Amino acid sequence: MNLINTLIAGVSIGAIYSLIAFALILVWRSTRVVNFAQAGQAAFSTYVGLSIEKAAGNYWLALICAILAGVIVGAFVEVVVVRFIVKRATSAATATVAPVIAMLGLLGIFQGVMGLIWGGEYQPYPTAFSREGISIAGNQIPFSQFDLFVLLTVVVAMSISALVFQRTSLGLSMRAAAFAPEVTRLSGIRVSRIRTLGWAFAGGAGGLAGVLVAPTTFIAPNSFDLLLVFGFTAAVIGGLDSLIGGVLGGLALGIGLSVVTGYLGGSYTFMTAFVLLIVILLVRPQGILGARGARRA
Amino acid sequence: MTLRVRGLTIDHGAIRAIASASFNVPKGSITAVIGANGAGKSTLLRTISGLKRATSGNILWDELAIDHLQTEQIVRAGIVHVPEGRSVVTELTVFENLALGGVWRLRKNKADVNEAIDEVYELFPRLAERRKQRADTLSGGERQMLAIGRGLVARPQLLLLDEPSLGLAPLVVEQIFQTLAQLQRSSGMTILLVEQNAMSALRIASQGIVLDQGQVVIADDARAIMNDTALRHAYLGY
Repeated sequence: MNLINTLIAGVSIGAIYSLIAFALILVWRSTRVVNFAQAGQAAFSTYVGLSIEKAAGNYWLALICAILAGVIVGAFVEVVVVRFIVKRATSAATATVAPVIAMLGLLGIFQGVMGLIWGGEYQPYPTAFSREGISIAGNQIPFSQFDLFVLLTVVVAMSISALVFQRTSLGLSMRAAAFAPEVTRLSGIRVSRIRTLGWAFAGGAGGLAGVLVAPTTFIAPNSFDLLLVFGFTAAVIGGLDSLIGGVLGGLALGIGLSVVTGYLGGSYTFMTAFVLLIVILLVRPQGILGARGARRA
Repeated sequence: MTLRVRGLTIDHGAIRAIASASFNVPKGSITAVIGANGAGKSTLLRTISGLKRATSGNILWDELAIDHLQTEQIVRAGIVHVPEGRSVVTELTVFENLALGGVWRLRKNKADVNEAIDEVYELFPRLAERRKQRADTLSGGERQMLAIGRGLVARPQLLLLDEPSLGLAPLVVEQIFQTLAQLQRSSGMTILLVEQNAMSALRIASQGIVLDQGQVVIADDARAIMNDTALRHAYLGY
């Protein structure tokens, strides 16, 4: 297996890590909560997609419904749970710890509910594209039509997000609310609504990531837990506050882990991600790509 | 529109920040609230703009009771607060900071938001030169201009300004205060200015309110306060 093939093999999974990192960073920036429940939200959305797929037999309809389910679940989690926990947790210690524990609890609840509705066993998720490696001049490369679809979908989703963030007044409000909520409120913007929208956006990204990764990982109530760890690692590489950093971190992680899998073997992949996560948090907590010092929370 | 504060009491936990304060801010005036650090000046503004809740008392904006409205609603009623500490969003550009002040009324009147931004550029030409720079590259004085400018883009009828002179060089303070006075004359806007720098504030104000340990001790013509040596010695320290 040559190096170029190994690198190529990591691109599409890296793009999915980017999506998860994007979702985690969006929520972190707007609410200062690390959303561990994102794995459950994404799985729930993917199950909704799978149910639609089974009922209607239409991949694209299922994809759209999964994204919508992600949006709704994301907004729901913010309005019903997060808002109150953040408001109630007034001391510094509880403000840091309470949301994290609550999100872990919520993840457990999501997984329990999914088990009740859809059962605990792994189920396959269909694709609309071939998963055979594409042949170029007679050589098959480890990159399928499906991988190309994943990559393009993520590129399109990220481009739309970048446009919304940089070119619209909603994006301006979201960025301002992330960095200076009080100034944003004093500018007449309903920051609580902006926060809900941030969670909704993140939920949609998670739903999309779920549908894109499920053909590879299959879907079970806890099948995206690892994905969350990889997404979180990607977000940390990018510095947690930078959406672009997180997206690049996801691609770098996907490609890097592909090299580890290719040369050391699959049993090292998971461990490498964890080691990387710990090392970055120890050495460069502001992220590899976060040039400036960590922002005040 | 007149702002009327009636028997306003504000607490910080167990500490009383403002005790039964009553005063008026007449339409088209510059009213300066002065007093030492810790006199409760910022708390007063934060309560008027809805960031903090009063323990008791009323705040009336003509006939509208605003003491239970949300900050966003108070902005929509025409009262805009520029808080202490050159409050800009450092991660955004100068233009984006100004645009932020107009987002809430963008759908209603986009042309006027753009016009208001252009007026701020005219008022503070330094901001026009730096419109594409991030706010964290600005000097302290420029940041204060930007914070005021963001408030102005909302086209307030009442502008609440908290310590615009804080930490700025005297020359810059003078420039900002002169601009405020000129702006007030040309637009007829009402300004409620909170300042530790009593001399500069009273010079452009028509009315002065002296706060001491949460109490309104004097509410009088600004000139009268400036000319009252005993009072100045007692409360303003000069």
